[in-house]
Amino acid sequence: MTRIVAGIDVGNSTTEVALAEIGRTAMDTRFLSTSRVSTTGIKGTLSNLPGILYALKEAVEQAGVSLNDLSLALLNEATPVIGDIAMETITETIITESTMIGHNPNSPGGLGIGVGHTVHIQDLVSANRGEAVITVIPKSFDFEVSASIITQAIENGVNVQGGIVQSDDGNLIANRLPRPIPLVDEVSGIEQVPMNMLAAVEVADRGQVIRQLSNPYGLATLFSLTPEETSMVIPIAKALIGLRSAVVIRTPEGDVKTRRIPAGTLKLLGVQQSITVELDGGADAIMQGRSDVGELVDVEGEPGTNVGGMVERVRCTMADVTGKSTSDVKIRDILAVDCLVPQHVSGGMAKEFSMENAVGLAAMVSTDRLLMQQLAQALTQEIGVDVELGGVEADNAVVGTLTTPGISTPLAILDLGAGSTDAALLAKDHSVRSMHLAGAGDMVTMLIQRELGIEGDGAFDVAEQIKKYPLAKVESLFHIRNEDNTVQFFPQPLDPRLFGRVALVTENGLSPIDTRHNIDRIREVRREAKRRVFLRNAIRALEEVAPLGNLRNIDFVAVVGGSGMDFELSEMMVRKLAEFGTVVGTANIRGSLGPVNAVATGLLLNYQRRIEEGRV
Amino acid sequence: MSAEDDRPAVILAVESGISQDYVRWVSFGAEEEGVPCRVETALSGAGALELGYSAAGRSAFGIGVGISRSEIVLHEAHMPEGTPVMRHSLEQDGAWPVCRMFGHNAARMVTQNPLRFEPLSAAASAREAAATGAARTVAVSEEQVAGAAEETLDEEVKRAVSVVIRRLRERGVL
Repeated sequence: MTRIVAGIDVGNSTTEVALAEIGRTAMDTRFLSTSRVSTTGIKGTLSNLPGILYALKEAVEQAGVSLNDLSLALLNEATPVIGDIAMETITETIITESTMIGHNPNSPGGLGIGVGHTVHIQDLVSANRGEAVITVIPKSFDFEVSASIITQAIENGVNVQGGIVQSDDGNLIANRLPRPIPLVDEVSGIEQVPMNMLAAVEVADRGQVIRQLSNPYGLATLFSLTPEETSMVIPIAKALIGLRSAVVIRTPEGDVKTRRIPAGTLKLLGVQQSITVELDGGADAIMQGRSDVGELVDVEGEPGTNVGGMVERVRCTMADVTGKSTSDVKIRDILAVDCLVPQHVSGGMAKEFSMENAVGLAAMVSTDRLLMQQLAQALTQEIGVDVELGGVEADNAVVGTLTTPGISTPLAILDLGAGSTDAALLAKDHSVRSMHLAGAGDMVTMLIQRELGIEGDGAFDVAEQIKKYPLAKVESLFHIRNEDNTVQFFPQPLDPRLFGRVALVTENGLSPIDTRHNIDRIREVRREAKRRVFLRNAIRALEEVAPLGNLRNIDFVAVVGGSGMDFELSEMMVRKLAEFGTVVGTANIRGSLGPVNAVATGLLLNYQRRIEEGRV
Repeated sequence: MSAEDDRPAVILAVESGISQDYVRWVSFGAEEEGVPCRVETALSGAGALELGYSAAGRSAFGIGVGISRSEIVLHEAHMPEGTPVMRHSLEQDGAWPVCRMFGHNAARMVTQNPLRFEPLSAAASAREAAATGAARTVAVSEEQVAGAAEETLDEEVKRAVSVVIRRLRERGVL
């Protein structure tokens, strides 16, 4: 006698179902279909029901049966962990008086460096002979008018050293002048430029970057600064590094400083000991503390500091999700990552930003098994079929993964999810050890978003796409250059809106990214984020479960879960783990499904084994 | 064909007798991007599409702009004739921001930078600002003319200002 059974695995981001006809022996068992849909709501809550129903319907349709034919549904006892992420900058650049414009317009005009007092273009004609001036040109002044006024002034003996232009006219003006002067254009907030102040304008040649204004001693030379004043302009110089054009204006009250926000301390409460780490020490100090403290009971941030706020935010989010009070939410693991994020400089005039240090933190808390039971009951009522909780997730994942051809024990599996990184080890004696760590796909997405400075609505989605797809530059209307430098031609012309842009190569065609970063920078940020989260966590998790804590004692590592489908992660993982002589690869469940459906498949196989052993 | 005509450039093919302002604004756009462009006048009768397509074929960059009385077209040599990169009507008032945008885009096709699809930052309001701003400028300039005369500063300032005023009149902002 056979019966149709469904295995259901609710994950952080997807819900997977496997459907099989299960008989008395493994010989009589036949897999019918599988499905995979997005998880609705937060894992382990009643809001998962619609997603489960949808996945079930899809699976039964594929198998050509109906929901009524089901005799049992096995629900995965989901890993009782959820993760959250937060990021806080620990430095900030503030200009108390408007003193700098540094930006990269597409086409600044002229060349060189000029120093003089700022003068509005309409006052240029009446400037004194021989006076060194920097002229300020709002967009109401047409480039021909501006050029003729400047030319006139130069002929009158006014020493016009450079200009600050509001519209995109830099080249047009520069081309109409008797001698080249540097012109910075596209300065949107030009009305904030103070008049009659000493200013320096620098424009570098194409393919070059400014040298003088991004050098503190260069600024000191131009503005005759004292050593004390020179130390104050370091933040300006820092913010201007790597630009093609810039303006620095010296106002008497001008005072720019890097304020170091009190980052605070993080207290790691362990079973045996507690360790306090300074956030200033960066991610490495925090992670060293994390590994020294051993098993973690909870984490506390110093109240009134950035890290205090960060930890509290995580706690509040988790309390909302689980319905517990904040004092009952215990953080069981953290992952800290250092990063450099672009931050707007307060007081800048052309939306300048400066790269500031930041720390990203992923935290993981335990949830209740009770929630899963409620979900099972609700599902029973909904579909009128018995629903059972089918055992620990790690056991099922291991059994499912063992259906991969060429795999053997001792086997470690790595499940790189969205919220947490899970590892499980199946030892020779078939005992399973498992480990859940904070930080996974969502953390990678956050790092990409913050490091590239992607803003606005849907910024997280854009970053998510960047994480998932390789890049290409649209070089003509008929071809693109992929990030590995290969060229791909198209028989039909591409949309002109794609021309010249960096785009993602998705299964639905090219999708342009709205960014000024070039392809190399985006690729570097993307890969670095994956390295710092996925690779670091993979090693951390495997060391936890490995016999004697040594990775060399694990022969096989199989990557399962959605991130196993990542286009570059498995290659990065192979390279890293090859150092330990470990075979690492992406699982291929039942020899055909790839890295997904391991748990759902494992649920059914474990059920089959229980029948054979006469336990059902 | 002279050596000068062989140099790579974006080619602007214009129907004879159309406003030179259109042509100038397109070339200003290309100039700001630092890409050379060359104007060729065609006999009337051909449409902007046809002009742009044949100009693209002659351009060493493969980029051509065709301008007729009623329309402006940006074309690329490999595109089918009927599918230009972009086209825009010139029949409404204040077409110069559109012309300048086409100049920018023709140059950007060469430099492989993303194209613009909005005629220069809120063209209408900019134009308005230009009109009022220019009026203010002229007022100031005239004061300066008087002042300059008092200070016995040479005629040149006057001449410069009158050039400015004339140019503004030409462009219709006064």
